[in-house]
Order: sequence, then structure tokens, then C-alpha cells
Amino acid sequence: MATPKGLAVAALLLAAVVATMPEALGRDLLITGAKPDRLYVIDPATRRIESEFRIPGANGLVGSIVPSPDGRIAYVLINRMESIVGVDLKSGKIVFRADLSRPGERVKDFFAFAVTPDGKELIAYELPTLLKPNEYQVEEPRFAVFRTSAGLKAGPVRRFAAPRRIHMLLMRPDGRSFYALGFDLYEYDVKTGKLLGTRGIQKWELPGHTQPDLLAFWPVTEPTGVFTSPLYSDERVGGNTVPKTALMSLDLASGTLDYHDFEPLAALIFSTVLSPDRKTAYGVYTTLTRIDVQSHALAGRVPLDHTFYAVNMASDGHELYLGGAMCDVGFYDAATLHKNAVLKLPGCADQSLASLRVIHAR
Amino acid sequence: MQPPNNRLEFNAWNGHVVRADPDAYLLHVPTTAVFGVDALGLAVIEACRQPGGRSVDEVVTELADRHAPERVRAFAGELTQLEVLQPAGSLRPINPASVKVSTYPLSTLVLNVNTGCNLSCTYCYKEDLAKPAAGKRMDFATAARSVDLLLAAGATRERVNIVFFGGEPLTNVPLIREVVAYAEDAVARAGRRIDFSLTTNATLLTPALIEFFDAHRFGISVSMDGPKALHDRHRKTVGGRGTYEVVARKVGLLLERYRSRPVGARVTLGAGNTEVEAIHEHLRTELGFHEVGYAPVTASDTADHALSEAELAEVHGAFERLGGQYRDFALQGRNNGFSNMHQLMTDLHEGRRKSVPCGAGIGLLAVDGAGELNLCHRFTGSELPTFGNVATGIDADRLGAFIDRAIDREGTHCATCRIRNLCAGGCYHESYARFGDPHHRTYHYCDLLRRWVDFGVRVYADIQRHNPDFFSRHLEPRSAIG
Amino acid sequence: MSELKPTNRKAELLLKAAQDGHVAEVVAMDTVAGCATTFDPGWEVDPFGGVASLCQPMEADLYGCSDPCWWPAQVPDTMNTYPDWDAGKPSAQNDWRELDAVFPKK
Repeated sequence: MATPKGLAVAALLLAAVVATMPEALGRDLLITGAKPDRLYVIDPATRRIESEFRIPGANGLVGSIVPSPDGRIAYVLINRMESIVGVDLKSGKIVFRADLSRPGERVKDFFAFAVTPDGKELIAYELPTLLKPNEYQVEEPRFAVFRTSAGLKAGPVRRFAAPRRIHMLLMRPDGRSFYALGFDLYEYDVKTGKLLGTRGIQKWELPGHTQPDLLAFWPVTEPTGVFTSPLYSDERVGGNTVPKTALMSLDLASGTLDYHDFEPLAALIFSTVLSPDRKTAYGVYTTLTRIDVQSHALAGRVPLDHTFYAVNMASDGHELYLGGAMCDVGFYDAATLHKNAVLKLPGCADQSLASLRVIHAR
Repeated sequence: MQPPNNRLEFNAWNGHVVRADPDAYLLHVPTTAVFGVDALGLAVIEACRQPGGRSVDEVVTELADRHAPERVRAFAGELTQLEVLQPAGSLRPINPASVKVSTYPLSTLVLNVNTGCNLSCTYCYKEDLAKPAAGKRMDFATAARSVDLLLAAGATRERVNIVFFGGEPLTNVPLIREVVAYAEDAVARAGRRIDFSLTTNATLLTPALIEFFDAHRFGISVSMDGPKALHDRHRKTVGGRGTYEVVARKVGLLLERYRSRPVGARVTLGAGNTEVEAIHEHLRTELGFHEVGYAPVTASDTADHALSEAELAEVHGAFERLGGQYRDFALQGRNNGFSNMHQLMTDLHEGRRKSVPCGAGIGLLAVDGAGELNLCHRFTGSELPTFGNVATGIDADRLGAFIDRAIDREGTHCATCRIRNLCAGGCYHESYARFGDPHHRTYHYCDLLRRWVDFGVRVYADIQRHNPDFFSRHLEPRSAIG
Repeated sequence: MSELKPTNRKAELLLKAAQDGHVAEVVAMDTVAGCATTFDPGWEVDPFGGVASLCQPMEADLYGCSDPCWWPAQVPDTMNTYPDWDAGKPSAQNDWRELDAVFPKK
């Protein structure tokens, strides 16, 4: 039986809870990109485009999108993966630009970059090639760190050696290190570039499984701060191998890396998102898949109108957002997997590999 | 115009050397003439392949120790006349001049009697396929107008052809019977001739139907993919069950009774079905089809039912082996029934030089249920705009523009390809299915097709040398067009 | 008498025409024949299906794959050599017909 004092305490607790609920952070907004040079800010509540920004010099490619931690700027990979810009999401102005190439050296960043939690630094992954008169000389890959305040001609303030075949950088919330996903999962110190640890993906020795296969180009960690992805490998059963789909999760705060088969390979999944209560994950490609994370089982699947590459989720978990590939953003009910709405981008321009991110309006 | 130094270069766009050690042949690309070339010829060609080319005098000097100068000059002169040697630095491919097609001497009309089909083969290209009851059936009035159009547009032809197609044409037998009666009556009164053909999945054949077709001399083509395991992989009922048992039984009935014309099988090589020799053994030898033609599924390389690149290469290898068997049979005066090879041999024997890949739109058109005139049977029910209607006639301007565009090789790889006059850019429908544009060149199998033609030249030359009679006895006019 | 040995009839015709100065006429001779798909099996050739590929429809994957050079053999290299291949064609499902082959510039 609640006493007045108990009620007061309960009210305080409730207030505290309310304060940390997503609504207190501002409403959700979706960010996506489209060819050849567009960035869109979409209000999922109304299913409408709030802002359409043109990125000059995008050169036909709008790729990975990493929002600044305060949600004011979207950092976007453009220009055939040779440049990263920061777009102010209120005005559309370009407030940051790093062109990775220089005369005689062509540098590509294959999808992977991250922003420190204080928003001050941006870490890119560079794949350089020297363009010599008679030949190309492939150089060693490297991480390059830029100050986000460096304006439109940002140059790196530090560089470190990096392994090959990295396709995603994920910042840890304490800002001291970041993960790099490639052949394996590496952890690097942000300041010194020191390799802090390596955990398996290729090297993963999962009992009874073959080497896993990971395709991860969609750096979605919202709303939980956990990066998830489908992972494919064969399980050895008796004398046979059975292809299995697993859900991989990497908790950026705790560093816990987890992986569980949830079905024999049935439908291809490109990317996944984890619900706020961490009990359910959703994956997309040509079907929308629901995965029960606790029992590691398939919990639902519906066909989609077409392939989507990217999936994200409302901060309160009530709705799923589907994007990437073609020119529309889908809004799906997370509980029933029903299609609630579809927003077609202007000119039906393809999102291709643009990420679909959720930020909070200020 | 000769450059000051009179140098000539060998132009591989107009002449292609095929080695068949110890012999060699020259395919004259602009005409599909095939010549035997001896050591002297090869030496002259080699000399003129050198960077910068060679003048005739220089070649004579170079080869003086081996070959008589008059012969060298004579050979060089012949090659120059054929545009295989051209002034160094000014090489150009010989291609047909733009031909404005303005008359359409139709020889063949394909009637889509029903878009419905009782099967659901995985690779079917028909965009408008439906269940038989739900299919769009052509009505007699449209069919009759089609016959009239054929007779009028094909007025210069003594013989015309009607092909019944679908869906599955045997799901609309009443119309077929009516059309046959109407058409035979019409040609009889006009003193002309008409032939009928039919492509069928064979599942609906009955003894009565077989008798009817035989009585009217139908050319019958059965779509069958080989022995049971291979046939059932792709040729299934709507319910997903294989159809081999039924088809084999009906084909048995057909082949034991059919006398008027040879019966052919058409095999579709879909994913997993690359054992061409085993298929041929079964269909030709065991079942008794007169000839078997193989069509690899190449209109998409990502569809589940399409051949992968590796599989297509396997198929090509099998075609060469079966083609080798064709040669062995030919040397003994027999035909092994490998239709693809037979077509190629015929093309080479006749020296066929094609500006367009097929007769669609020129000698052949297809009529859909609404009476609309389509480029060919594959396009009925597709999104490609039609070219008129049987009620109002052929839209000559649009069709002409289409054909003109097909002939124009400018700016495409076809302009210089050595098999451009045998392939001519490939099937319109395949291009449409794969690239969305019927005029798009079928670049995806160019290399294999060039190898196939090289192989064909070698075999052709072999047969010509050892049993030239084979061709006069065995080569029949190809298809119903042209 | 000729150095070139005619192997088929066309070759005989052509040689004769060369002697008579009528090569151009033989070159102009044209044939319209049959069905023409891969390897030309003769009348009624392969049925093939729509593009029921991994990505549905195929156009969904076109830029997602060509942008990062995922299909090096299938489309021009837009990463480096032909960055303008898809310029003006941002919608694969609508614009794919405009996409063209690229040719080396002379």
C-alpha cells in the first residue's frame, strides 16, 4: 500500500524515468541519403520529408552516414568514397569537409568512419594508392583522425597503421577506443592508435562451425548502443554441414561480443537493428525478419515489396524504418510487421548504400 | 587511298583466321565466305600483321626464299580486293550500308491462341502467362484477320506459314481447328500454299489431335528438357510436380504415329541442366526425336533458373563435344540431329550474311489475343509497344524504324566483331529481357559465340573436305522465314 | 586460278565476283533467317524468365552494387574510371534503360 511518502518517492522515480525516456531527448528524426547528392531529414511521425539538402561535390555517391552525437551534424561519405562532409542538419550548410585524396595519391574510405562521443574528432579509414606515371602502387591502409572543427579543407591531425579490409568503425561510448570491423574485430586506442585487442570473426572459433561470413556496411547502433548484424556460417551436424544464419551483437559500452544461430539459412539478411528492450532484433533484405534474441529463434518473417538494405527503429521501439537500395523509406509496425506507410523520395532517386540513421531533434 | 609508303595492314575486322592444324581458313567477315588458306597465305597475313603493316614489295622480299613472288602478289591482291588488307593506318570494318526496309514480305505469322498454360516452367519468359482457364484466348475473328493479313502482306510469297503458340496452344484446340479450316480454304482459292507449325509442352496431346496435326502436315516442336531428373527440374505443373512421365508418354504416342514431317524437341538448359550429351542421347536416340535444339537460359545470370557463367561455359564445352559427334556422323553421311550445329553448318554453307539477327519484324510477326502485331512470339504480352493491329494493318513506319535501328551497328562492339554477320547482335527478346532494350547487343555471351563459330568453321571445313555430299543431302531451308 | 581456296559457295561466288569486279554486290547480299538466341538452336528457342534475382527487383541492387564496385565485371567502374556512368540516372528502376555501355575513348 503506497504511503504519501512512498508516493512522493514513486513520483520522483517516475520523473527520473520520464526524464530519460526518448521523448525527453526530442522527437525521432530519420536521416537518409540518395543519389546523386541528396541528404534527407524525415519526420517519421508524419512520414514527411522535413529537409532536403544538396551536397555539392558528392559526385554521384552518398554513402555511410554518421550523425554527430548531439544530432546537429550528419557526417556523410561522398565523392566515390574519397571525401567526408559534415552537413548541418538545420541549415544544410557544409560545415566540414575532408578530401582524402591528394594529387598523385588516390585515397578511398570503404564505408568506415566514426565520430568521437564529444563530437570533436572524426576517424576515417584510408585505402591509399599512389598514382605513379607508369603504375599504381598500393600503400598500407591507415586510420586518419580529423578535427571536426577544421572546416572545409580538413587535414588529418594524426594517422595510425590499420589492417586491411576494414568496413566499419564503431566508437566506444567512453571515447577512448573504437572498434574496427574487418577480417576480425579490432580495438584501437583513439589517441595513440595502439591495437588494444583482436577478437575473432575470421578467427572465431565457434565450436562446430566453419569460419563465419560477415557483410556489414550499415553502422546502426541506435537505439541501444549495440551494433548487430547477421552472420553466416555452416554448422557441422553429423557428417554434413548446415548453413546457418546467426545474429551477432557487439555491445559498444561493455565490449561484449555475442553470436547465436537462430535459423538454418533461409532468407538473406543484410542488416539488423536491436529493439530498445534488447529482446528482439529485426533484419531486412527482401524479407523483414524478426528474431527473438533471448531464445535465439526466428520470430516472424514477412515479404517486402522489394529489397531494402537498411533497417532502423524508433527510439521507443514501436516502429521500424526500412531504407537503402531503392527510392522509398518503409514504415513498419514492429509488433505486427505490417506495413504502415511508404515514403517515396523525390525523383525516385535511389538510396543505394546510404545509411538510414535515427537522431533526436533538438 | 594508299599512304605514300603503300603499306597494307591485315584488318582482323574483315578477315578472321581459323586454324585447324595443319590447315587454316579465312572467314571473310563481310560475306561469310570461307576460304582455305595455305602456308603462303598465312605468311602474307602474318607479315601484314606487323605494326605499321607492309607494302607488297616488302612482303615479297621477306618471303622470297619460301614463296614465289607472283603468288605473293596475287594473294595480297585478292586480300586487298576483299578489304582484308587495307592501307595501314586507315583500317575500317565493312558493314552493310543502311538499308531502309519499307516492305514487309511476311512469310510467317505466329498466333498466340491462349496466354494460358497448364504448366509453370521455372524459366518461362512469357510475361502474360496465366492458367489455361484464365488465359486470354484469341477469338476467331482476330485469327481470321491474321490469316488475311498474312496472305495480303505475304502476297509475293508462294508459301506462307502460321505458327500456333501460347501459353500452351493445345489449351485452345477449337481455335486451331477453325484457323486451319479457314486458312486452307483461303489459300486453296488463291492458288497458294500454307504450312502450319506448333510448339507444345505435349502434355495435352491425344491420338485424335496427333491424327489431326498429321493430316494437315503440322511441323511439331516439343518442349522437353531431357531425361526425367533434368526435365522435372524446371518443367513443372502449377502445383510444382515434374511432368516427365506424362510428356514421355505423349511423345511416345506422337513419335510412333507421326509421318508427315519430322518432329523436333526444344530443350531449355536452365540452372543445373548442363549435361547436353546425356540429354541428346535420351531425346534423340532413346525417344526418337528427329532433331533436338538446345537453348541455354542466358537472359539473366542471376535468376534462380538461369545458367551460371560456369554452367554456360560447361554447356559450350558440351556443344563442342556434341558438335564433334555431328561431324563424325556427317562424315558417314548421317545427321546426329544436333540442331544448333546444323544451323551453324547451314549458315556457313550458305554463306549467310545477316544484317539483323532474325526475321522478326521482316518476315515474321506475332499476333496477340487483342490482334496487336508484336515483333515475335516472345514479345506478346510484353511491354514492348506493338507495331499495328490485324484490323488496321502493319505500322510500317514504326516497324521500319525498329529494323533500321537494328541494322545500325555504329558505336557498338558489333561494328567490328568478327561474327557480326552471323550473330548480328543477338535475339531482340533476350536483349529486352536482360537489358530492357531490344536493340541492346547481347554482349554477355559474345566470347562463347565467337568460339562457337570458330569451332563451326573447323568442322564445316572438315566435312567439306571429307564428305562434301553431306551438305547437298542434309541441309534443308532454315525455319519458316527468309 | 586463285590463291584463296573457296570452301563454301559464298566463297566461290565472291571469287568470281572479284574477277568480274562485282565484289560490292556480293558483299551486299543479305539473309534474313530464323531465330537467333544464344547458340541458335533453331525454331523456338529458349524461354527465359524475368530477372528474379537475389535482389528484388534487380534494379534494387544496381547502384548498391555498382557504387562500391561490387560487380567489377558487370558494369563500368564508377569508383574511378567512369564516375559519370550513372549521372542523371539516379533512379535505377526508372532510368536503367538509359544506362549504356562505355567505350574506350580513342
